[in-house]
Amino acid sequence: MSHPPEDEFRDVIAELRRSAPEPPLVHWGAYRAELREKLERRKAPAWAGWTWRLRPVQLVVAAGFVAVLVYIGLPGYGAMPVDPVLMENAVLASRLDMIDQLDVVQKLDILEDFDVIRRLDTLPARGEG
Amino acid sequence: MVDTIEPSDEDLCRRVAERDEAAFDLLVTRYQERAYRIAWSVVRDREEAKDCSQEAFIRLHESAASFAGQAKFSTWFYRILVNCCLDQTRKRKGWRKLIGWGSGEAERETQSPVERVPAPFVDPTEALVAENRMSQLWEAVETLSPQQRAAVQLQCREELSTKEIAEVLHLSEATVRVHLHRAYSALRRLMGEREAGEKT
Repeated sequence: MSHPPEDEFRDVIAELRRSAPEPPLVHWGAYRAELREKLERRKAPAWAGWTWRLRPVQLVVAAGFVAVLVYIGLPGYGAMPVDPVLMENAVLASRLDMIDQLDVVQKLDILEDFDVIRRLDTLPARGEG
Repeated sequence: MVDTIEPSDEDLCRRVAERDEAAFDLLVTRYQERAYRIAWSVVRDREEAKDCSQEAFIRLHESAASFAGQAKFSTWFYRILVNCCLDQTRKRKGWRKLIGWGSGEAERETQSPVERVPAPFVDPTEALVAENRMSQLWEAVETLSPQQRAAVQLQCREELSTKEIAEVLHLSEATVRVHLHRAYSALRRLMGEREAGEKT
């Protein structure tokens, strides 16, 4: 390997040069246009890529907002009555089993009117000590 | 009559670094064919060769400022180009491994006929012999590693010196000599066998 390959293998190199296959033809105008397009795309500002990458975040935010709206719009939400009587009705409506014991519930209301019951916490316990 | 002096590649590259788009266009026009041909010799696919050579031009546009001017522009640019091509072949190899494709034979079969048909010759007998010779010799080149193939291509077609090839391929000059020596020895052997076959 004393000579450089280009001197030692002149015949091979000449044969290779002579028989070298040509690559498929290319339309150079289209090639340059494509290159220019790729270059412009690469030069686009960084935030252009960010907006694309932020799309999932935007989607999640939008989905959350819709979920809140749906929750608020659900039947019952915001329709809660302010009036205590109506509120009681609403509670009763949600717990229909209480209607079966309605007479007991009504008696509880009456019992509240008794003085003894009202002062139950302050009365001394009978038979203490 | 006005004398117009063509700017050198190195001057154009410096102007590209200063965002002179006209200089970039001129460099592309000067190098597009060579870049595409070298890329094709490594990747052996029209679209990939186009992509690789265009990617090399884009990298040139982005990093023109890093061209120190110590080497020739062509050497610096070919290094970018060959790197793009070798990256591409590595990627393709990775995909092939992943998908489980076979050797290059299948790919050669799927290439468009235009890619396989050699330039036409006048004499059909001569054409047949020449085609045979060409296919045999260049098929042998095909069996080399992409790096060796690039070295052969850069020496035979682009007429780069061993030193320049070493710079392009990021190898020592001695390694390039070894690569080329082995490649040419194998090709010479093949040529000898072929000549012996033609005589009998």
